[in-house]
Amino acid sequence: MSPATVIRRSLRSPSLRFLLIFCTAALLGFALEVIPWVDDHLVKPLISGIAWLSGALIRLAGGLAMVSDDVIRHPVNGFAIKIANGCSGLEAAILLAAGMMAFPATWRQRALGWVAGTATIMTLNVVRVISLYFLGQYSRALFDWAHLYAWDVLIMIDGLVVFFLWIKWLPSHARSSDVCTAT
Amino acid sequence: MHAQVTSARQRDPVLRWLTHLILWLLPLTAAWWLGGAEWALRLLRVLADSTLPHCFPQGVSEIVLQADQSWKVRTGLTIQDKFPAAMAIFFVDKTTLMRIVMGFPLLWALLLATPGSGLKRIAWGTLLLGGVSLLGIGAHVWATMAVMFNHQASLIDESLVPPPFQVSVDPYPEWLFHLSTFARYLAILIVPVIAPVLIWVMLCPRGVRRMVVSLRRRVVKKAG
Repeated sequence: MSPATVIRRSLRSPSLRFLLIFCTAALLGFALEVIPWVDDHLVKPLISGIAWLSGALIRLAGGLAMVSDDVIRHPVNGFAIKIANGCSGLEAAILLAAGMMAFPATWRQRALGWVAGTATIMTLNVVRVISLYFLGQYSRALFDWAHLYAWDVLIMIDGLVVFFLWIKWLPSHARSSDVCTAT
Repeated sequence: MHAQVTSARQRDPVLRWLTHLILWLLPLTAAWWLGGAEWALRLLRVLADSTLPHCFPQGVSEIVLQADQSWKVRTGLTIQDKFPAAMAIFFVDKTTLMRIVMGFPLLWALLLATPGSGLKRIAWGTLLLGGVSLLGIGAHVWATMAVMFNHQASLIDESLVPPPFQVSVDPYPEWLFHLSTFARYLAILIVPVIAPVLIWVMLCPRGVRRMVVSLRRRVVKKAG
């Protein structure tokens, strides 16, 4: 059996087709994200924007924060966090886009869902940055746990919930075709 | 009002799944971080020590557990211009290792929150994610060696920098060097959070499909 036949047969199964398109789209998205030009012109400005917004919100809430590029620093105790690549929420947005591309819908529905979903993810990411800024001043161990594990899982669950809400929002005809082939 | 909310939760499979997911995630996460992860890493080190030297015969000769839970990787690479001759070693820190295996509680919570998920699925899921974690460690080791071979920092991850010495080995071609650092980027940042979800979708296709169908039924009911 030729590889083309195997791929064609796999694409007939909705679950396999979903996984195949999802993985391909996600890989392409991540490959694009790490291109130096994209990193310089999109990822880095986005990270600086997140740092600026987080600093502004901290100050608005009565906290102390100085922002310089991608670093948020406490002016009194010197504690600082640097928002690195991978902490921008862009990875979750790429995964959401891949999931939406793999699910049957029109491009307009995908675009609307992705913009709304990405806004939710980015909002949660700003909450994440602010919470880490305060947690880090309180406990290093708690900061590491929240930074390396808890928030990543929460953002992943947020992405899943957004994806399910998007499916719910889709007009029934888009989903009925999927359901008919899936069952 | 409370009865209405409870009844809505019982009727809506997605809401019920989400509630169960969070309820399972809390104790599983606590158990994982209070010792489960360290046991898993001990087991993974044994697996890595018996497989990685075969995958990288020139690069990895032994993986030793350190007192601080990090791993010391002994290589068969000779350090250039060093007398007497010495072999290069590098370390895989505990933070990276914990990050690679962070997906287990999420996978178990996803499987336990989905109706019909039995012990068999949990066992299969654990096995699959164990394999993915081993691949993740392999990707990290590969990229660390690529940085060492080429004596060049990674463009993707600024923390991946070459050691102060050079080793007597031909450098990778440029594309292979970038591929290895990209594989590490995926293995450390992306795979630990997405692999549990993909394994859950693969092991519970009916449960996932039921949730998708339930979302459609609600709209049809409303329209009717």
